Amino acid sequence: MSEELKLNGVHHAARPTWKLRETIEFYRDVMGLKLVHCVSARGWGPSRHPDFLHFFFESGAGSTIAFFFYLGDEQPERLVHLPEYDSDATHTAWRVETREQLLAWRERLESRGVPIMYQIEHEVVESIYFRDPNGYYLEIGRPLREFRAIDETDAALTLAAALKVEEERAARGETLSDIESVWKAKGALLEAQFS
Amino acid sequence: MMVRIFVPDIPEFAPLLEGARKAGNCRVLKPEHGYWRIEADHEIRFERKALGLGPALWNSALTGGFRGRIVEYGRDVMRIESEAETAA
Repeated sequence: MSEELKLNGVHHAARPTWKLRETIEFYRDVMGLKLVHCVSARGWGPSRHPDFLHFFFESGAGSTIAFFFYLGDEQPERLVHLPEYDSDATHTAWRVETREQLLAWRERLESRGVPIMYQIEHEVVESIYFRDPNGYYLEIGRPLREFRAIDETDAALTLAAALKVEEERAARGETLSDIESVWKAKGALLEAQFS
Repeated sequence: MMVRIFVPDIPEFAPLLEGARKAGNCRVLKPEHGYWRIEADHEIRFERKALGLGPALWNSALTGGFRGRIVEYGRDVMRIESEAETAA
């Protein structure tokens, strides 16, 4: 990002909820996040737009997590959060700084009856995963290291390889459906750099 | 032909380098352009438990790219052969 035009962190991440009480109790009482703002408004815009509550919980470093509750609205089937990898790809991951803080969160959640689904060390973060009453997938993680210059160049190379293979497949009416092809294409790009 | 794995020079993949050094049939070349290279004439073989890698890292162990052909990549064993080997 350029110096002139840059983002400065997250103001809020927002999701819809059809469980008003459970959501308030989970974020405010179970997690202990401070309720810092609530909009209550008549429906506006499209004629079908219902009246709503839009409420915000503080989540550190100036960020909040926010919910929309639409009054009298029934949850459409397409927005029911399924506990599947593709639904869970949409998730919020909060940051803590130390392992002690991570374990303290684990203890707090478990002691209040929230199951911790996994505790995993990924490439650059160690995380715990759990769900809110809406079924939304949540993560708290501590960075294991900062990003390095090689992470940046490697990311660009991985995606360049993926785009190349995707384009080749598309030309044959196929889709990019395996990571092995991307790894091989990336290997070929690197072979060229080394030769 | 030979088989070659590129390993980004980041600490979480260090167990791959250590495993390759112990394997006896691999050459481990110091990083250039940000990548270590693990090379073997015919086959590179790793065992997840022996490396001490968790599933997340095991499943992205080839993220640096490679040359060869994956002939086995299960929960605990990965084998990559040179393509000539496979064609033979």
